[in-house]
Amino acid sequence: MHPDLLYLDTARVGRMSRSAQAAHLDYARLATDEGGSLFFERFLRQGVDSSPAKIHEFYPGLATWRGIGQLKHSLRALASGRRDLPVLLANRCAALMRFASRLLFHPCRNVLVTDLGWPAYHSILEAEAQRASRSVTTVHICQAILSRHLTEDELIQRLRNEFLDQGCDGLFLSAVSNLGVRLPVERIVRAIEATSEVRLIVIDGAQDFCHASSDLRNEYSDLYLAGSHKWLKAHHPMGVAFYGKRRSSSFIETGLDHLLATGELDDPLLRFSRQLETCSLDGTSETVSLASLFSCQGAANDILSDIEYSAHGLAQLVNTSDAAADVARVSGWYPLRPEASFRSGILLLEAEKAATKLASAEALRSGFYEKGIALTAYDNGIIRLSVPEHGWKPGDLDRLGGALQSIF
Amino acid sequence: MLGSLAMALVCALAPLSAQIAVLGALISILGGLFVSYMEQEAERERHRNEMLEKLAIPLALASEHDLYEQYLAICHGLMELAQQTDLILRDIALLKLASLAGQIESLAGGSVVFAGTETWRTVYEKILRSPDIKEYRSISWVRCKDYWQDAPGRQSMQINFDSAHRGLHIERIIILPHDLWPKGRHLPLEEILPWIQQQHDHGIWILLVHESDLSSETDLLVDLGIYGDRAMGVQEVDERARTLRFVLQFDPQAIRLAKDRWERLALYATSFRSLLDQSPANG
Repeated sequence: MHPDLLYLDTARVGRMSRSAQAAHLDYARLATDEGGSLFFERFLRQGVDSSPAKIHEFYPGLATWRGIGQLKHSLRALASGRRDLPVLLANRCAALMRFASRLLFHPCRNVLVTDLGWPAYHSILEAEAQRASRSVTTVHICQAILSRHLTEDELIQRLRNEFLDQGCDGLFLSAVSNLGVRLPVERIVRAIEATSEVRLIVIDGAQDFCHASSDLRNEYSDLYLAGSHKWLKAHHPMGVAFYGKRRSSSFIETGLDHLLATGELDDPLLRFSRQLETCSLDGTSETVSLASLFSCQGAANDILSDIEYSAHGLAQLVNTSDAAADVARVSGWYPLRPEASFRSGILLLEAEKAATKLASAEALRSGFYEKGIALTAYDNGIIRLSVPEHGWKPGDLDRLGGALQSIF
Repeated sequence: MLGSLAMALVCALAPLSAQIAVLGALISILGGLFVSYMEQEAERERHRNEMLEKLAIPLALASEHDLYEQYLAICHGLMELAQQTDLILRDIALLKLASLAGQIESLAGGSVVFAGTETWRTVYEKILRSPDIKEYRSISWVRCKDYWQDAPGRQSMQINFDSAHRGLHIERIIILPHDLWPKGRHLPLEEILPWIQQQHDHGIWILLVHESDLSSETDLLVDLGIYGDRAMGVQEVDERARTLRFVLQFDPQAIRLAKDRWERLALYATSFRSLLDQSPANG
């Protein structure tokens, strides 16, 4: 264990925020004291209002819990969504992706994606396409973007043309890829809609939510998928999805109710939160893991109260990333950086030393951890840094530079 | 023997000229008998061929067990009918048999007609549930607000929803009259809107057309279904949207023509999704 770990791996899992930790610890104590008692159930529904004195005195970390409705309100605020924007919660992000895939291939015959998408999600999409005898069209842009051979306008034009030429009618795009490429998803959607009818639009915001944009004010998508365990820093994984466009809201809800009723979508939290909202708890549902709810509320509160981050989030992250790139260049590492408009708080570096390139991903990751730096490593000497949201602390860049120079 | 004895007496007792005359007559008789034999043989050959031809039908059917059973039942019935001597009964039977022959010929041409009955919906359900049907396109010409909303209609709609959820890709063009979707009004009226919305909610891709836009292309005013590349159906309804006739065709040419019709009608259509997108929150 490193007492002074430089944690640069939020893109994998964010470190638990302070309030998320407090909520998590006090939830554990409440679970010890009350188990599944009536008090706990009341607390779950009503939050601190169920027993203010007791909560504040014995479980202060849970004092901001005011029920699932308030949690959804907080999540909406993080997405700049309107007050009545519907929100789905699930134990597993993959469950929401399966749901999204089912929805896509109802009205759509051919869904356009790019090779910047998360492979596990694309596998789910491909499986559903095969089940329904539909198609997925993949546009390869990753290499061109990382090598700066594609500008934002060229990208938009290319995707618009491919959508039209390939006869696509659905879209599934990653707002920010796991490799840090930020796509101008709203501009892409608008450009495609100007020339084609897009029957359904799903955005993967797993790396975008609480990081780059996730601004849903303009409601350019039908379904936006996110999670709580990366940039929101709740640590406990929980899937979050936003929807609410008039053209697709009832379609999404009808699809959800059908899949839950038939058991084809089997996520306990998704079912439970839906039943809670529609006041249709059936009394026979399985026990649901609720720990993620409380840590998520704590983490949301931390970000919402961080005025400085809320105002300058992405710009600050990109500046912080630029500083790391400068250090990397003089330390024997080459930044794989796209054009400025595609940048995010995720930075890819490629080793220049042959010995480093030969190291396995596991060896590389371990090597950096031994030097007090947590990051993600890939084969062929590539590492991924998720830069800290408030910039580098004094000494951080020196530590980073030293580790980059001395690894293998 | 008598002939031989007569010839022997002629040879022994008659003059030469008489013998020659008898020989000529004999040759003529033999020639005639030979020609007659040949004609009879040809007739027998024709008869044999006819019998063989008739035998070919049951031979060809013998491998189609379900059809052969019906063939035998019909043959058996005809054999028993042949015992009936009442002339009126025979006349009625012949009329019905002629009608039956016409129906069988129609079926053989890939066409099934359901007249004055809702039983076509059973076949409709079977087709939609068929695993090799991946796409279903239809045209619904709505004549009144109760279109497909009676009990059989609701059941068929549920089959549509179940099929859509199972993965069948369904697209429907709905033609609406002015009194259900007035020009200038963004969405159809409340009398029909929930029926449309429900289909949209279940994942059916809905397109709407104003009936008045089709005044110059009246052949597009039709209730039509295209079931993949397998079959197409045309429904004729009365003013209360009850089925008068439903014709199901498995002919590739008919399917192609139906697809062409659908494509032409789609040019006049607007997606329900885009109408929802453009409509104000409360309208």
